[in-house]
Amino acid sequence: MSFSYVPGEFRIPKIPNFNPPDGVWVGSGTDSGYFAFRLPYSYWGDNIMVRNDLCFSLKVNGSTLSPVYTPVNGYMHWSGGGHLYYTQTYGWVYMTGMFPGYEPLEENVKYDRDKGVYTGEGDAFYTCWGLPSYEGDEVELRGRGSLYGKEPKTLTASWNRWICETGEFGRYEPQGSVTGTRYLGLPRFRGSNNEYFVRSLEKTNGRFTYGRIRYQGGKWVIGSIGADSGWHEGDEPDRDGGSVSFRFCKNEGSEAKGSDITVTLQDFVKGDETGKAYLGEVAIWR
Amino acid sequence: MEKVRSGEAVNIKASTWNAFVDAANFVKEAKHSASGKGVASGLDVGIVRVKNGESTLMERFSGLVLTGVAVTPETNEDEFVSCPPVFSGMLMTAAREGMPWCVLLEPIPAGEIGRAMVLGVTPAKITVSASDDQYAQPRAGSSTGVIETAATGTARILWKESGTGTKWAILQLGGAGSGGGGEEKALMCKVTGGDSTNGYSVTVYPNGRSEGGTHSAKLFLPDVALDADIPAGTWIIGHKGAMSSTGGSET
Repeated sequence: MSFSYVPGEFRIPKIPNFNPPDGVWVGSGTDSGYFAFRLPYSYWGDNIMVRNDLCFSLKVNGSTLSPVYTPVNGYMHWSGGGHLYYTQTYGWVYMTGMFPGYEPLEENVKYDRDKGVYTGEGDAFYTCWGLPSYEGDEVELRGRGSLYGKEPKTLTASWNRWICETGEFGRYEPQGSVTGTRYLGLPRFRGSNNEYFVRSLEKTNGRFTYGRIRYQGGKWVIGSIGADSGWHEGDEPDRDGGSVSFRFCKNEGSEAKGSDITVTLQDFVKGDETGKAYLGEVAIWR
Repeated sequence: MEKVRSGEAVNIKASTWNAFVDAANFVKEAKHSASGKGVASGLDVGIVRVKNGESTLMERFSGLVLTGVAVTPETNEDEFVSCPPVFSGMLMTAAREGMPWCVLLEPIPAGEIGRAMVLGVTPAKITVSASDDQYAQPRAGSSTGVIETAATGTARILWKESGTGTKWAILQLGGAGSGGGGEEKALMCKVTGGDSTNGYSVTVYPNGRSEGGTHSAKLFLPDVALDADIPAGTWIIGHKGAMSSTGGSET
């Protein structure tokens, strides 16, 4: 199997403009390390797939801060070349050299009339009153304490992810610095005879099956080779699109009648496959 | 068919005589000899044909999992509808737990077809783990199809010899009171690795911590704290169930 649905709710600290998903598709095998979930009404996309990164990262002047799922004053924080965390006094604080949660000091803020600038004393830190909500959104980090009046920094957000525009199941296209198309769901094909063909979850003897389409006797066929009523021969359907034509065949001398069938990708579906697993009777959250 | 009184002349019609013969044949075929022979043209309710999908001979009273049918409607619809089904039988594994299984009524060489019971009452040789166990099921990982007792399961033990070890028993397969079917089991699981997001690798102890683990499995948590993972060696009560699965990027 490639993805299993885990009805697990992420227990993470509060993040502005971000509601964690209620359930997650967890990848295994070739999809190990990948997670797909829904984030309705999110700026990041309704249906996204990620690899390990279950939340967006922040960047301060291009330097990445990764999410840390431990609350500081009730909110999640980010760490990298410094820490960005929430404080009671200043709101969001970006600071280097101290631990997340440290309440910085700011003293003697005054306006220098001769130079026409504000100055201050105390710790060197930056603050902002909100976080960027989507890729491309920028928030200014203003210097505070000994950095008061100094050059501000720019806070941006990024999330390496894949987005599916057609629903929960389908092709997920890369966003950010990731590459390649990924898939969630089983491709469903429709024949010109209005019959649906859903790909199997697992391979049998190294081949998928697609409803009545199966690999038999070195050929992809609909039906059974040699059947009195005839059968169809074609190629394996392609989940990346395009149509496959299945030619009607019959036994020599047979009077069976039939017409060719064209099979075309319709969409992707969840399917009705299940896998065995255990749900643990334990809850851990903070 | 009408009954006759004492002293009345008996005039048997051909159709009546044939009905008697059919009834006699039915009773004859329903009886199973100790050698496992006795079925010639038909099968009793609850008895099916099974193809041994393993590479070795499976002895009589082995437990095999029914993993599929030899002829599907897609393969040959006429044969599927008109002929008695032949199931593919394979040994129980952790991945096959919860699937239907059967008791072989005769030895079946590798790749050959024989009779097996899926519904009804049959004698069987089972491994009794605990004398108060009420159910039985094939042991996951057994290379000979051993059926062992369990606290829950899909086959009710109607009678068994006293004591533990290999014993004779009478099993009721498939009927009412055959246990929870394994899907509702709460079992002791010991964490061996993994994390909250990808799931934990666990060893399952179906008979309790003191009896030893029988197989490995995957365990997920309903509440996922991304900053906290359960360390290896932790004991968790796991509830076995079926989780939706779907395709990914495999080719």
